[in-house]
This record gives sequence, structure tokens and C-alpha cells, in this order.
Amino acid sequence: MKISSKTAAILRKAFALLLVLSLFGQFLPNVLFAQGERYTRKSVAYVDALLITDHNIHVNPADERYFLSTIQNSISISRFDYNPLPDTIRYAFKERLQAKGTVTESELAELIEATIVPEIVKILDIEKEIRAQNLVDETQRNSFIVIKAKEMGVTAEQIEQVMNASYLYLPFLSSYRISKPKDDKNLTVTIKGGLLWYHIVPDAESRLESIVTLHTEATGSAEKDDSNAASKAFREAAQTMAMNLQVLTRDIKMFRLRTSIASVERRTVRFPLGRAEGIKLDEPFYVGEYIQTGSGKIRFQKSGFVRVSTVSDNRQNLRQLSAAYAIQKGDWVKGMTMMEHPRLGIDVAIKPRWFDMTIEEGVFASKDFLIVFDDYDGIAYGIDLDLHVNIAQLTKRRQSFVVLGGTAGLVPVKSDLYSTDTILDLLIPDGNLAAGLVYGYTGYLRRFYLGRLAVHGEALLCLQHLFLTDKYDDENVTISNNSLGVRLNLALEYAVNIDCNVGLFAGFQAFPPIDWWTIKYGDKEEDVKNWASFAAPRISSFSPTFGIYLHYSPPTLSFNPASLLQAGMDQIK
Amino acid sequence: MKKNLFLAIIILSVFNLATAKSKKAPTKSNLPQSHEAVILESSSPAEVMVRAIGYSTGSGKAVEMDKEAENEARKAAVWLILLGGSDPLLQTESEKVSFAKIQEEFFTSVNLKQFVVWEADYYDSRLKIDGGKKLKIEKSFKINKTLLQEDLVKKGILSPTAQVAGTLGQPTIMVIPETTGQPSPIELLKTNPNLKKGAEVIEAYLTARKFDIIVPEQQQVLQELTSAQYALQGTSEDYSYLLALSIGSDIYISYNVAIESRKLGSSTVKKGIVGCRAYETTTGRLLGTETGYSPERTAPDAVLIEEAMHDAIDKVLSRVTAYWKEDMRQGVQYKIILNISDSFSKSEAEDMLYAFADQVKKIAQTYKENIVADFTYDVLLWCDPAIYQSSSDLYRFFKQNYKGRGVLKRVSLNRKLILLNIAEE
Repeated sequence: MKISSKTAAILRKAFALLLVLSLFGQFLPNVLFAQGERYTRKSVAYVDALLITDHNIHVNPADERYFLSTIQNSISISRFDYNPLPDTIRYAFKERLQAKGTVTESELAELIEATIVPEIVKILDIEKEIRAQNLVDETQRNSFIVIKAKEMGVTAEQIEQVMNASYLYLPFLSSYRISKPKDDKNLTVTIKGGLLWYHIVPDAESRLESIVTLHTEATGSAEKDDSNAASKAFREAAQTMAMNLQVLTRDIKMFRLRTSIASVERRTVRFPLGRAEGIKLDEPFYVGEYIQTGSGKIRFQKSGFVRVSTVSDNRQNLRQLSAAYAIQKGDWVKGMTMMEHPRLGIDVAIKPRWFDMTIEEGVFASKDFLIVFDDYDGIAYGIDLDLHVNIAQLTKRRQSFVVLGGTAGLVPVKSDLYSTDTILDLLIPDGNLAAGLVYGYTGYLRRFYLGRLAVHGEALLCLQHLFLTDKYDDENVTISNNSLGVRLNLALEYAVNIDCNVGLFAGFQAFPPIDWWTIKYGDKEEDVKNWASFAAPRISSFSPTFGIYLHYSPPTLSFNPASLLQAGMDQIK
Repeated sequence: MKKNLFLAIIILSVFNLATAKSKKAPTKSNLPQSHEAVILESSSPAEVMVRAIGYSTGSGKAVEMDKEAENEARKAAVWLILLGGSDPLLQTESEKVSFAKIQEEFFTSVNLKQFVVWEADYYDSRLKIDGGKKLKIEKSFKINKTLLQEDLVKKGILSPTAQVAGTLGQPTIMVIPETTGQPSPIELLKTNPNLKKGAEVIEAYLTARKFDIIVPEQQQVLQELTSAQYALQGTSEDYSYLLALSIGSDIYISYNVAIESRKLGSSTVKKGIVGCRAYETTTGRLLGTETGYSPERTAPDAVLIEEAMHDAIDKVLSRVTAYWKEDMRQGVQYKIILNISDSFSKSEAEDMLYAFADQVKKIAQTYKENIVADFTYDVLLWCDPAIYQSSSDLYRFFKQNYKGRGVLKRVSLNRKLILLNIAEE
């Protein structure tokens, strides 16, 4: 049994992030930019080259290739049409980029304009007619198909729409940092970077306009012992960065999905988006309307939000409607606007809770340590930090989640920890007034909304560590008793806003006493046998648990939940 | 004291009653509040695509505001066809006055729905204005103009086409491309596919609107056939008849076609531009001119010409119809050109012109002299179609009633052009 400091580090970061984001969420601006009525597909080209803005950063070619393909896969979302650039253009651009070394943003724009833009215009021209047919609005389509149906030509306006809808992105890396903590067997790679997004304006002299630069940070870790540890950690960070960049890209004003409501029936809203645009179950959308202010500005006024409940396959039949259920419902009517609120599909939940622990006195003894536990039967305090990863796409059931989480807590049990150091020196150590408690768990959660109220139930498989820490030979040592158990929770929530729910929960946890001990010393961690001739302490918890609940849907995370799950699996091994 | 109080109460009550106003809410008018609408295209001879704007009058529930704004947009779309734009259905003052009497019931939602054959599923735009107090929506509709016209005829607002045709005779229309001389219009129709397509689109419209069409190529064939028949029989050709055939129609529509192109990115987009003019054949009077444009497209020329022509011809035909109605009001128009033989002296010819003019005054409801020369008299006259239904009726009248010197003879009688001659007995 091992306690991973990697997990603890991730939990600490996630906790801090949650606090910041949950506060930030309350003050999100209520005003969005005025936009057109409906989303039109955008033509996107990408430069398959990595721009490194710091000459101190050295990424090996294989990692660079991995980074680029990960980003590219992540940004290949259904709302875009892709125009792969011919290899010759890409190589020409890369060569000139490498020849220049470190480039400024304006130099980069010039370089792209000279090498890539003319080619993109040509490519767009080849495919624009097909693409423009998707842009023919309902009125025009009716005119074309029903009345004329003679020649499916496209208008200059539609061509311009396609041309104006052409965008280009270039990934960049601005920071690469490796940290190798002494008392951790893992090394961590933290990278910063993002995407430079440009708009190709196809005037007489086609030019490039910078739209936005997306920044994000990501962390990955790998065991130091691995010969490719830095590379593995970099790739993990690249995956996290790609995940974040996809959400940030979807949140760019011109890429955000928006559409008119086709119908409103009680709390069900139907709308003309679907698989063609890549929408998924449970994705949140704001509902509102455009309003002209006294000063003449047009802004989007939100009046509630929905979550997607049915995704239609509108790839063949554009008239297929998807459905969403209203969580916060306003005075809605057909014709009002739905606007996407891109999120990762991962909620971070924080749950302070109370439960009972029972510890029967006993002794643990190993080669170097001896612990004497007192009796304790009473309340323990903990705080859960969960990640709810939405798996509705897999289960086809809305609001179903995989839970990955951990609890940090305290048990006010008295104990004495002796080591060979203290015994040899005939020192009596100060008694411990409390022991630390950590749970790691995974499970399934299902939520049911009833307007802004929701109930959820979850079943979790947990690993419990009750631990004491000390110094031994000038190194930190952690001794843990471990147990496997289950938790069942039922919660009542209230949707404060589109990103945040609060509530109360009650549940039951069952952890039997197991004489299973682990010692972590320096960066080594190993299971040990209890050699004590006295009775071993019996540490268990069969108890109801109560707590309060707060969850937040962040737009980005700096770590990858998949790696967290992997870390959890490693612990169980 | 009590007495004074009682008196004061009575006085106040009487004052209250006297100043009280009726609280009955005014009845809301059905007439469209918005007149913001535009014709997107004439998608077929019967149907017109319109984009219209509707407003809600005040704040309330979203459903009610939307319903009201949508209704208003529908009204604005129908109003445009009835009374708006350059070529509305209701053109004469009397038609407008007649319609004003029924407009309240006409603009009810139930009545309007029968003319709206298609509505867009989604708004073109939806915007709250006045700080959110009012709703403005923009929506596309397809209005069946023919159905609307028939309904107005049924209600007695418009004269039925048959009635117009019955009294005036069915107007015959010929469609020819504009030419500056050589090659001839018929040659152009044979050699230029764009001009041929233009003629086809106009003819499709005309047949749908039940006009009589004369196809120039067929007219030429007929002329050639007639000449051949005369030649076979060994009789000399009737050149006056052939001349009349060459005039052939009451109205002719001339048109020109141009295709403009430009580069957009690396593709060429084209725009069709057509000019369309309607003339009264015999008088050369211009009845209407319109220019039509197609959207810029990467499409074959024929499609662009069709779209541009749809845009133009619908308006030109409205002018032709308006002209026809106006003629019905004044009577049937004829042009008479009288030529007096130069064997008469100028003073004799003058007396003969006056004698003929006296007969014109008798027969015409109204007339307009174009040319009064020494030996030529060119006059336009409008006659009662109930009495004079054809040019031969007019000729018979002049023949019987002309009392001047010489003998009145006809040179040619066309539908509306009468060529006469006075020669020595």
C-alpha cells in the first residue's frame, strides 16, 4: 500500500482552483457580446508546426509531433470544416519559422500571410460551393428547392460567408518546467502555451487578422525511475492542455454555438442543433434574447439556462431538432436564442462532512517504529474533493458521472509513535492528539433535476488511510493503516447558476478494520507487516455521514482526471 | 350643519357624474402598424417572397409579444402586396377607396392566413427594443398574390381580368429583344441563348397571367407561309395584311440582358441584369420600365437571367395591367392616321380634315391630336368599348358619316391602328 504525494499535490491544486473558480463563478458578467442570430460553420485550417516562444525550451521531435497531433485532434470539433494544408506549404512555413528562430507575433503574422494565406484561399475555393450549400438559409433553401430546384448555384454572399469564416490556428509553447521534488518518486512537467487564432480576410489583398490568443497551463507527472519520465510527463501535460484549449476555443465569441429556439413545451426546449455541430448530452446552454439598449447597443440578455437532454442526428436532415430541459426557466418562447456555455464536462465538488470513527486500542510495530493507539469512538471531520466526469455520452443517460475523489480529514485519537531513534536515545515522544485521514475513491453518480432543485445518488468504492507522520533520520516518515470500504450518498442540490450547485447530503460509509500498514519514508513507500505481539489497533468506520455540497463546472483544469484515475489505480495495486 | 354637509355631498356627486369619462377601452384596429416589408423575389408567377417586420405594441408575456409581432409582420407582408411598393395590386383611387371600406375585416389574422402559403420556421431576427418594452421581429413569408387578387375581385374591389379582357379585347403581347438594327430581333433570338432564355421567362409569366402571346419567330413563319400561299394561288400578296401581321400585337415587351462578373477570392461570380420595357405597339407609348438583378452567383447564365427577369417582369406586368385598367376607364384607345391625297389643294385638304375631325369628336369619349399637317391627320381617340368593339366598327362609322370631299378608304385596320386615306372619287 502506497500513499502517492502526486495525488495529494493534485488534490491541493484542485482544491485551490475550486475555491477561486467557485467565487469567480458568482461574478461572471451577465452581459455577452451581441452576435448574429445563428451559428454558421467555420472553415478552419491549422499550421502543423509548433511555435516555441522561448529559445530555452527544447522539445524532442517525437514529443513535438505528439503535442501537435494531440492539439489538432482536440480542436477537430464538429462545428468546424477542416482544410488540411498541403505538405509543401507546411514545410515551407516550418523552414522559414525555424530559420527565423524566435519570432514576434507580428513577424509570425507576416510569415503566415506570405506562405499560407494564399494557399488557404485556393483551398477554400475548391470546397466552398459544397460548404456554402450548408449555409443556405431556410428562406433561400425554400426558394431553391421548392420553387426553382433547377440549379444549386451559390451566391457571392454565401461564398463571402465561407471565405469570411476561414480561420487559422497555430499552437505555441511559452514555458516548460520540470520539477523533481526530493521526497517524491515522481517528477512533474508544467507547460504553458496555447493557440494563436487568426482570421483570414479574403479581400483583394488577402490578409490575416489576429483574433485571440488562448493561454493555458497544464501539468503532467511520471515516475522518476522511468527512463522516459520527462517525455511521459510532457505528453500527459499536452493532453491536459489540448483538453483545455478545446473548451477555450469553443468559448471564442465567433465559435460559440447559438441558435433560435424552435419550440418550448413546459420545461423542454427544442432547437436546431445536433450531431452535425457536435453537441453532447448535458451540455449547458444559456437562453435569452437580444436587446437594444438605450444607447443603441445590442446585447444578449440571459433569462435562464438549459442542459441538453436529447441529441438529434441532423447530419442528413437539417430539420431534426435536439431537446434540452430547463433548469432555470424564464419567460421563454419560440424564436429566443440559445447560446452555448462551453465546459469540460467535469465538475469539481467540495463536500465538508462529518462521520464516526471507531478505533480500539492496540499496537503497531515494525522494524523501526512502534505506535500505540488509544481507544476512540466518536466524530471525525473530513472534506471531500471530487471530480465528476460526465459519462452521459457513454451511458446514454443524462447526468451520469464517474466520480474520482479524495477526502482529507482528522480523527481526534490519541497515539504515541516511537522509533528506534527515540528508543535508543531513551526519549519519550510527545503524544499525538489526532491522526490524519485520507480517502481515495471512485464510483458512479446520477443526478435528477427538478427545475433548479436536483437530487443525486452516488455509490463509491473507497480506500481509507489513517496516518501519523514523524521525522526519522532527518526524513519525513508517514505510517498508515489502510482499509477498503464503500460509501453511499444521497444529496439534495440547488442550481445557483449554470456552473454552480449547492446542497446537503447524507450517506453511509462502511470500512472494516484491516491490519494493513504502509510506511512512506523519503520517496520510498512500502507495505509492512505488523510485528507487535499485542493486539493490533482495530480502525474502522460503520457510520452515517452528513455534509454540505458545492460543485462547480470549471472551464479548464491544470491536471488530467485520467491521470488521477491512473494514480488511484496504482495505489490499489 | 348637517344640512350643509348633505348639500355638499350631493353637489360633489353631481360633479363627479358630470366629469366621469367612459372607461370603455378603444377597439384595437386590425390595420398593420408596421409597413416595413420588402419583396425578396417573385418566386413564381403566382407567389412572392416577402420579408416583413412586425412589432409588439407593449410589454407583457413573451408568448403574447411574439404572437402580436408575428401577426403584425404577416399584415405588413400582405399590405406590401396590396398597397406598398411601386406596383401594388390596388392601384386606382377607386380601388383604394373600395378597399378602405373592408380593410378592418380584411386584415384579421384568420383572413390573412389564407394568402400566406409559407412562413419561415425561424425569425430572420428578433430584437427587444425600447429597453426591452417592445419586440421587433423580422420574418420571411411567401404570399400567393394571385389568390389575393382573386379574393379582391370576389369582394368587388378589383375588376376581374375576364371583364377587362371582355370589354377591351384580350391584349396580345409580343416579346422581343432590344436591338440597335442588325441583326434583327428574330435573328438575335435564334443565335443568342441568353436572349432566348429571357424571352422564355417573360413568356412563362405572360401565359400564367393569361395574356395572349405572339411569338416573333412564329409570326415570321406565318408571314412567310402567307406569302407562299399567295404565290401558289398566283394572286398578288396583300402587303397591307403582311404589314399588319408584322405589327401583330397590342403591346410589345422589349428587353436586354447583361451578365456582369467579378472575382471573389479565386472564383468568378456572376450577376444577371435585365432591362424590361413594355410599349403600346401602335402608339409607341411606354407603359413601364424595370430593371431586375439576380444575386451574384457561381451559376450558369440561364439561372441568373431567370432570377433577374423574375425580379423585373412582375413589376412591368403590373404596369401593363394598370395601363389596361386605365384604358378601360377612358375607353378603348385607337390611333388613326388619315392621309389625304395631294391631288387636292391645301385649302380643300384642310376642309376635309375638319370634316373628319368633326366625326372624331362625335365618336370619341376623349381624343388627342398628335399631328395636323397639310395632308395628314394623326389622332389618338378613346371610344366606348360597348359600342365600338373593333377597329372595323370605327372604320364603318367614319365611312358612313364622313361628308367631306373625296372618298374615305381604308389602307389597313390593325387591332388599334387605323390607316385611312381620302382620295378623289
